[in-house]
Amino acid sequence: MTSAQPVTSDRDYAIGLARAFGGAVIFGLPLLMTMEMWSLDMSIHPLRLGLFVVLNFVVLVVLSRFGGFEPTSTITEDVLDALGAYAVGILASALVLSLFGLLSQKMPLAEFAGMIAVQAIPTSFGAMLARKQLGSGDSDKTQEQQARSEGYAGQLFLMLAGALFLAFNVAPTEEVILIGFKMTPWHSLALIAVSLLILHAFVFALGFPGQEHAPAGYSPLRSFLVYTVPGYGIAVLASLYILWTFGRVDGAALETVAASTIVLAFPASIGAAIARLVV
Amino acid sequence: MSQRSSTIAQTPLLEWVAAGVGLVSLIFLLGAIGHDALKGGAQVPPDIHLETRAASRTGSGFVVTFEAFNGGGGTAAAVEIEGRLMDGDRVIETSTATVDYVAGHGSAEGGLFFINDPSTLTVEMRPLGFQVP
Repeated sequence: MTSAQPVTSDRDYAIGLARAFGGAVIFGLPLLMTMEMWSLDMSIHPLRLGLFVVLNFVVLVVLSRFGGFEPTSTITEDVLDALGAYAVGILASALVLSLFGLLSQKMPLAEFAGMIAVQAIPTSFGAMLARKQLGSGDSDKTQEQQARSEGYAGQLFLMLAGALFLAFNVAPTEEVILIGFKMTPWHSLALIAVSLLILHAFVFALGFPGQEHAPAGYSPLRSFLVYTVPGYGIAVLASLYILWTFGRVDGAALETVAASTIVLAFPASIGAAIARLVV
Repeated sequence: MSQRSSTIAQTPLLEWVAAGVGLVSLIFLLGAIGHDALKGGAQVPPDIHLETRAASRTGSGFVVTFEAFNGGGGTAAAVEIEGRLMDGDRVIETSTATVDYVAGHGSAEGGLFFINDPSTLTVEMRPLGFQVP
């Protein structure tokens, strides 16, 4: 064997699965215990929910390229890993929901499936991240995975994954819309500025492990334009997409949509900024 | 040394099992959700009918429990249920309850409290209205 790839045994994989289960529960619990999530599938359009489930799968496959719960060398393995993470996420969601007495045999099949499907999004994400968070850390990330996640496209993708995850955690509650109503346009402008500032600070200035070093010769203004502004753009698009999925933009005035998007883009940009730390 | 084939051979059996479970569960979820979407069931307005159960005594009066069935595909939220105790044409007492959600083709349970004994009177229950979630 010339490859740096360690041979994975059934036992290693079982340990990986157990960690993934832990990650699924840790990342999923805040939403598993959020009331709005239990009935979300009834208000969400089924096609939008289906699209989100598929999109989440694609995100998981790419995340597996960058880290994942076991080292991978081929795309087939990444697909297998993403399916494995979904299996853990779905089982963890079903287990916790049934422990809480929220699943009953009398439920129509579509409601049952929808309820688990919405929860499987954060839990499968947690399952995928478990290796980085609960495993032995960076040392078992291969050189190749490291290289993959360091390209410009890789970094933008990580920002997208982080933004989607944090925005999804906040979006189901009524508060996003309510905060949007409470804020004046001046508050909105200030929130945009603060989001940009935090995103820039988290990525470049504060000494978090895994933080970016601006490529040599980049002025602060250039790194702001090349990383922070696209990062905020990604956070805004991710927020808008999640609001659309939850049916929050249907029939809403443009100002309302803009206000809720700005509110949600605040956690989303923090998610984008810290993506490097958790993935 | 063929690197490719050894990668496949290295994949532990458990990984295939886990991936298989994931694939089957995903197909099940997407199938159930997709079936619901294609049926367009959510467009059919809710159709709530109530099944009343026998009254029982409580500390301060009586309770009549009910189960609300939704025959339509659309989910009804904040369903208001009104129950009246009738003595012939005369209304003796009225009580209302609000049910948070009755899913399309699903059911939900609740109850109405009365001071008078419903067993000697006629109980009339009907849904008053709902909200689209």
